[in-house]
Amino acid sequence: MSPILIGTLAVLAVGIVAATWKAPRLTSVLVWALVATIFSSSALVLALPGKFSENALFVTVAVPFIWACYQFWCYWDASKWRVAGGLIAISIVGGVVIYLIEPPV
Amino acid sequence: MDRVRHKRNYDLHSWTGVCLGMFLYVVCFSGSIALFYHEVLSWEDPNKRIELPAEPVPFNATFTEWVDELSETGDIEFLNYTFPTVHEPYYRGFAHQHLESDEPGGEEQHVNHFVHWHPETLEVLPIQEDGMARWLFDFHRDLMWPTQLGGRTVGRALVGVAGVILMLSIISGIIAHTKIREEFFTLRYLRSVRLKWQDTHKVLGLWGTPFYAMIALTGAVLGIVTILAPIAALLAFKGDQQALIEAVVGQPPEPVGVQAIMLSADEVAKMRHPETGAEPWYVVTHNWGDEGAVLDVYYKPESKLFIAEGVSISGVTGEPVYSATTATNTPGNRLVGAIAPLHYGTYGGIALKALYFLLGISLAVITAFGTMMWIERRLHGNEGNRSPGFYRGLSRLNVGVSTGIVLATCGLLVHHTLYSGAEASRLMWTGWTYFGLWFAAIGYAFFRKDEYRATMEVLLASGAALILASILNMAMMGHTIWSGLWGDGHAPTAWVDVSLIGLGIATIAIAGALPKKRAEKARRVRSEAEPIPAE
Repeated sequence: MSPILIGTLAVLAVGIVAATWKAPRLTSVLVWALVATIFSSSALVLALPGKFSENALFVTVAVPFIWACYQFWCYWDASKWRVAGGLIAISIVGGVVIYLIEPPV
Repeated sequence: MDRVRHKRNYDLHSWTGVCLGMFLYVVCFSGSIALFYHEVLSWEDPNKRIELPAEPVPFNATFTEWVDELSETGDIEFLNYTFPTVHEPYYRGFAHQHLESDEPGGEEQHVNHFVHWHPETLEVLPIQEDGMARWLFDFHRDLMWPTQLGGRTVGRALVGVAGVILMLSIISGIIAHTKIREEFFTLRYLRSVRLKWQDTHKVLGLWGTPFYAMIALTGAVLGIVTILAPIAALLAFKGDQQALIEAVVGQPPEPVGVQAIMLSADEVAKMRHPETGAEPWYVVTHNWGDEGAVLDVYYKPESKLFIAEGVSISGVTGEPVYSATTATNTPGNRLVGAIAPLHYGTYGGIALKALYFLLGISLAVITAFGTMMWIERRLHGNEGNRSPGFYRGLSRLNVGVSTGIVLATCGLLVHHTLYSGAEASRLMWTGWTYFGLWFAAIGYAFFRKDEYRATMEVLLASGAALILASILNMAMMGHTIWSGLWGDGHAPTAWVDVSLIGLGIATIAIAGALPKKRAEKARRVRSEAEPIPAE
């Protein structure tokens, strides 16, 4: 990986951390809801029983709904930190599932 | 629901509407127009005004000759042909070539070839380059997003995000309604401006909720799937894109390496769908000219909530073969296959499209009213902490954007009939005209310094443009509504003219009925202002 790319990613990561600290609810709506959507959708495709291609098609239709629900949660929950923490936790759990489950051959 | 949560939910509804209300309006309005892409094609291009014959003449010899000529110039990567249909009543051939450069280090070229043949004479029909219809359809689909900024995929994803925002707005909007039963039937038209807009927003929103929810979800799927689904699937495959494609789409048919004579396209034309008996619509070929050639023959689906039903056959013998590309009769494929017909209303006739149009326009009106209410509360109510000038500017921008896209769309029809430049530049000039008219309307809204008058005048101009476009088209192409509907003219074109004139008159009537000015002008001070009714 090139140093420029590493630098860019590092700046982005620091920016997101700072934004989350400063405005957890807004950053959750804009960033963490999307990240959690991607990771949880990927994990669902792998973890659901049945054929991979079928799971992928069903989850494809569900992706916008999952995203909108996560965003709505950000405003529904009274605690701004619980939402940000919850979305980050969902992303981490999704990442672990993706890491652990092997894709179909 | 407790008060704090209600307020937060209401804020979410307001802010999604205000921050992205104008964008949502643009997507909704352009979507209502994009519904009629196929209907407008023959109005746009006189070469397509052909009556669909009961028995098109055989065209295999002509098609094969065209393919052979192309093959001499380079390998054909993708080849398909389409049989005449009501909307496109001619044979259509399409080939994609990947040409290697003769010079070492030279650039490779990707070239698309299109050809249209008359269904009775097989003469090659002139092809008008993409213009108005393509613009109106693709502007809704991907905003015609420029290549320099990431290309159409980015534009499509942005439109998909509009769908997600609309879903969010619908969820928060429904929850914000604490008296749904009463609000279904409350329309106070003779009270204040704000109440009129508020009730219209609520009544239209509540009655249309099932449609709006469907259009938001399907639009979001069609849009963001292009970016999010590949990312999610790629994550699942730890970055192995080839393995991902094989797992989802399956392996394409492999060539054998032995030359063979292909099954005649005229034979394929006679092959009815084994279950529905439908006639073939179009054919996608794999490994053309090879003994391992496979033809994916697509039919108009029996169940209309599907784009096309495919059957794979050997390209040499015509025997059915298995192909992953057409083995789509699974629940997942059925679900995903239903998304586009649901979104564009192609599963019913023209009456369904008309209903979609009305509901789509009503959704645009709801978003515009939502933004207007938000501004109205700040400009003439006791909310907001910015200067009146700021809200006045926002109001003019909203009027300019909302009426400007109407003018731009109607103006494109006139531009199309008057365009006399090079075919290659048609789409470019279409874009310039579209944005030129749109920005002119925005500028006019600021210049006029009266949102009520500006709205009325831009809508009047739009209605006049619709009627003018129809008259110009008839005068320049030498047809009339009478000859189209009752004579030997082209009936679908005449129906488009009737619709344009009808819509033009309706737009002028609506513009004439709009109020000329606001009842109360002065901004009241906070202490005098009456409390704003909660949603």
